[in-house]
Amino acid sequence: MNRKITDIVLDAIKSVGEMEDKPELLHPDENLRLFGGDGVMDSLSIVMLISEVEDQLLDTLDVSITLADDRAMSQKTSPFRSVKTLVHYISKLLDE
Amino acid sequence: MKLMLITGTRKGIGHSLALLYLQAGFQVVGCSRGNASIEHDNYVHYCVDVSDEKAVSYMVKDIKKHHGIIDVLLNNAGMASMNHLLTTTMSKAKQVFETNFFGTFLFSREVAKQMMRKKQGVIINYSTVAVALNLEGEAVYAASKSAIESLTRISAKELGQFGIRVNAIGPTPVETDLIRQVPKEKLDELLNAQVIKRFGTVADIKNVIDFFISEKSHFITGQVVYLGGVMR
Repeated sequence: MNRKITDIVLDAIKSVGEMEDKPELLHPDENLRLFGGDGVMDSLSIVMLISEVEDQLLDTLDVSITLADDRAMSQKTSPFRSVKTLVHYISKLLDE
Repeated sequence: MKLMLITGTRKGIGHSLALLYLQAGFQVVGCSRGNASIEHDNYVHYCVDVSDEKAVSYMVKDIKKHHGIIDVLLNNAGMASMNHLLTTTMSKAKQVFETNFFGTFLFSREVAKQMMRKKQGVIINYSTVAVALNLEGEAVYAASKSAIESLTRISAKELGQFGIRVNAIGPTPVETDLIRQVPKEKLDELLNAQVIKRFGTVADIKNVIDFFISEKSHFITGQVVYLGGVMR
């Protein structure tokens, strides 16, 4: 399942890169840092990513979840920090 | 064909507007708590409670999956409550805010997430002249619509960078179910406070919506337009 979620997140990052014309997002890998520090996304790109991932989860896995909820926003380590943290957070939500 | 989402299409103004925009060549997606009351090749209906976050989120994603990105969102679903502050129950106040404010908030948020990718979209919210007139007996209803006016102005600022325009219409009373319970004297008093003293019609409302959604209105956002000559 984690492989599928990773593919969805990587695809979604590419889509945001295409929409926003950001070449640095066009070839993402699992180790990519997304937000904060040397992350490649600003807050607007993160909002687009959230929306793109939510849609792709519905299209591919037929699940409807809201990623930007109170829990996500209040975590010490933001789930949007990197591809890995985001994949981990999504799989946790899907397990519930 | 432009895709318009209208909330609250089972009856009243939403129902009439859905029919008119279908006639005008739009594809219309509607919703209400109850079953559809419109049958048309270009109409799709969802049964949903507009204050149910999960249901709204699913509905908007499902629309994108099957019909594409929404061009126009009309946050029409609403409920009125005419009562003195001292006799308004907490449950009624919550209900009014859930339908009017939270419904508008949820649909705006979910639909804007889609529109931002297309870098365009129009959101139209509903206020009421009761806000501008500070009508006695409508404290909770008008407060919920005041909240919608703030939401309109601030979301217009926040979403402007994505090419999304957000405006609101403030209708006068229109003869629908929503005002059936209101005493005649109260309605007369309200009509007297308007510059143009008559009930509004669906055509009056559609005229303002047509203005907001017109491609020529791409310089118009964050505005609240009251009908009947009512001013703040």
